[in-house]
Amino acid sequence: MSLTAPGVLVRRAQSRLMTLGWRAIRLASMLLGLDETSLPKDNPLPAQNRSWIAELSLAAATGLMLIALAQIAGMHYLPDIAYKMYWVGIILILFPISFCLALPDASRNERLLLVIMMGLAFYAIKILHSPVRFTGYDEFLHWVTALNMMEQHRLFGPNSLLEVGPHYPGLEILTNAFSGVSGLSIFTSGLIIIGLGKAALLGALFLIAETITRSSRVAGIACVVIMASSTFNSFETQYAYASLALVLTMLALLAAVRVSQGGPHILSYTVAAALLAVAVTVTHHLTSYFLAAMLAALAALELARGQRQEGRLHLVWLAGIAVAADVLWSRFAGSTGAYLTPVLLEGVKDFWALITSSGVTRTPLEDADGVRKPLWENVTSMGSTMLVCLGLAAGFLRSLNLAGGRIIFKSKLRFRVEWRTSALVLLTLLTLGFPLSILLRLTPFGWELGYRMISYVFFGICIVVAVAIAGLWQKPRPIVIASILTVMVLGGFATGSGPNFINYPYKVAADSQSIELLGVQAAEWTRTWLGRGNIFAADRINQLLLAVYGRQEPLTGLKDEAKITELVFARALGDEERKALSRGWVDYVMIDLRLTTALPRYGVYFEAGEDEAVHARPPDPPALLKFNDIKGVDRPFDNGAIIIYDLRSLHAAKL
Amino acid sequence: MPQLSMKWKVFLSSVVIPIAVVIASDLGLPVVSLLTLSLVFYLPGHILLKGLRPDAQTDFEHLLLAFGLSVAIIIGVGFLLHPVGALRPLGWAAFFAALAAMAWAKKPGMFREYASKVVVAPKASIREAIMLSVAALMVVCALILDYHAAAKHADFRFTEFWMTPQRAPNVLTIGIKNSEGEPTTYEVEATSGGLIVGRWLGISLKPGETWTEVFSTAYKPNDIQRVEAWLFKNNDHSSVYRRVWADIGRPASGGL
Repeated sequence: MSLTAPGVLVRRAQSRLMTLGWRAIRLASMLLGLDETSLPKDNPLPAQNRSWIAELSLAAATGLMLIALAQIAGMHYLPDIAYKMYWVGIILILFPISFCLALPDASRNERLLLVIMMGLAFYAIKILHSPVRFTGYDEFLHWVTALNMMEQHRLFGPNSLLEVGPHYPGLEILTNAFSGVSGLSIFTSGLIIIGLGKAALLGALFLIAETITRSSRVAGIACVVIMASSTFNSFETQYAYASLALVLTMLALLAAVRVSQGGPHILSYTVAAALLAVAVTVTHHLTSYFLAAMLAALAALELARGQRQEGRLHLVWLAGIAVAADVLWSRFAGSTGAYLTPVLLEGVKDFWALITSSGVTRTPLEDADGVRKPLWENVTSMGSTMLVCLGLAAGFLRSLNLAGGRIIFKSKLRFRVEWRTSALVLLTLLTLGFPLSILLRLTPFGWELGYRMISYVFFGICIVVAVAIAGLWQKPRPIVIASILTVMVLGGFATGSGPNFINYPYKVAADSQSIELLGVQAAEWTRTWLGRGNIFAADRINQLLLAVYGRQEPLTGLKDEAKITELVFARALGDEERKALSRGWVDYVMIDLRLTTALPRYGVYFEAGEDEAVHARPPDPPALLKFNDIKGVDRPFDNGAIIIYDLRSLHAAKL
Repeated sequence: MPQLSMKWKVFLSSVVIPIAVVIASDLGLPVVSLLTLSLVFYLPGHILLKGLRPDAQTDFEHLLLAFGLSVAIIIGVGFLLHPVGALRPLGWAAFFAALAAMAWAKKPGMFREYASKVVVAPKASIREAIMLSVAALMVVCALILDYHAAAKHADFRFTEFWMTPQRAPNVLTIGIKNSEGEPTTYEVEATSGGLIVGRWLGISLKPGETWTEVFSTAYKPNDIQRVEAWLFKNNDHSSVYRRVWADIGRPASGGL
């Protein structure tokens, strides 16, 4: 007995270890979604008769009312109240709808209506922020192109603020058509176009997710997760070419998914996808490259799948059309290399410096002027990113499993990979771009690249994370799921826009927070009293106002060695600036004395690449007022903050 | 076209239509412009899809693709209108008229079907209808409140003061715009070579009001002299509130 006792103990221990190991494997399998039972499935029970849409509409409307009051409080210098009302308003829209979407017995149509309602409510926040005029920096760039088109009745009118913009005129053509037929202003037409686009994007995403995961619950959750992208409720709500191009891209992908499914209408879907791809090509460069790559990858996956499928050839044609359209349009419109390459190169350089620890990293969650966001916003932002990472960890293999992904070993070294749904495999693989985008955002110049990447990468992230959530919580846990979704989306808001979405009083070089009546009226004055088309040297914000309200030609960088920063900020004019003036490169200079009160909130007073020395402290007023003492310079306008000097008498003069 | 129940007719006529009219009038939107939404964002794509697959259902997916294809078609038409300089309301009106005529000639019943998709009778209880109405009203009120607050809001109170040359080299226009948010009294004094060449007293302007005056001063051709104008506010002569200047005597190169 004494000899057998240890053996029994060892056996028991082995058995216990095996049980524990087996449980651990099962747990890991369940968490990673390798098990069939952990895949999301729609509730087989009939959908409930009770609809929550009326109650949820009321909650969302209350949220919007709070946000409207927050905007008004912000205008009246009540930042604390405004801040609290703003976030409570967002939660009122977000949490109840997320709760309903998490319920397993909500009907498919109810889910669809709810996600569109949530998307439009979030878009309404942008309208509440800027109900009178566009205020986003990029919006002004496209506003100028739309105005040029409206006035000249032709395309490709030059736009010195965004030279590449007129070559991608899809958004402006659409605005021209709608504004021309309806009689609405460019501003109102733009708001309607982007709003309709938001609804269409969410609708298309819902249908794609529903088709490839065979679950309306996953589709509903995916539509909420995409709103956790830091660009969804900020960058993508702007009147800008990327906003429309992303909508058309999602619709093209929907048509391509239908093509991959085959069926009697395959030709109509192919035509639709091809037309949409061509429309994206002439609307936005980067998005069109992304779409072409996605279509090519989808076609490649379908070909590699090895099963005869009628849609394969159509997909190959589709990818060919998208790539050809991009190549041909690049040749016609001129290469976008000069515009995109510096951003890409700087991004890659910064990224390399980051991984080799040899460069300067950007302080995350901090503005260029060093202003830090409140602690809870930073915590929510990081919490959101963490939840997305966890969702990807739990959803990546689960999504591949759901797509029918299998590795079949023929021998120890030979194996074959199989899958059923190429679109789901593609969108799952797309999520691999997420870690890269996060790392890029830690770098000073790569930040922009990482920020833009997020919009595209989230096409895949939203579905993979939704598969994870719906798979892990198949039994009703609506409060848990709604809480996770709420933190995710709040984090997206905090990272993407945060308090900038409240109308706080004027700040220096802060894009939307710098657009206000004093500058607008000064720009309008130039059009009335100086005529259109004068060349103006002005700071970053007044350049926008002069181009739109004044219809002037803002100078975006003096030729040769001379710089606008030097022209305006130096205590005395340098040789290059004197030469530039005598050559007639500047008609007027607009001096905004408010620049002397603070550092630029978004990093530059005039334009990217300006000398870092000017950011050490705000400029001295006497330096800006040096034109008072230059002989022959008129001073035709003064409103206390903005002074305009007429430099035309210096053309061809020896200074 | 499906018949609306009495409940929904009452709901539409008493809540939705007044709200739409209030928004439209308050935001300066012509009501008819809302109708152009479907013309621009649905009809071109709908016609194309119906041409490609006449037997397909007009469901939500059809609505989405019709939207996307309408956008794509309009962008394409924009490129066709560009060479003849027709990117203007008349050009677009001609396109939509031609499109509608073509669709009508091909399939007269298309518009009846199209209209039936635009008006859909929702199913809801009275309680839900009331809640939806209240929600819609709250959103409208939020937008109107916010719009009015933003339109009236100004971070700064200020006065614009200007002096610009006219066609003749010695003729100048001087102007003031009151954006102080309250009625304000101004005085203007113009000097040249140390001599007062113009003075305007007791200029009372309400908020948003503008005052301009054209004046001339003696000059010798090719003898450039500076005319400087000072603005005083509310009889305060201790400091110059605004100042502008212009050189006269050289051929005017600016102004309208």
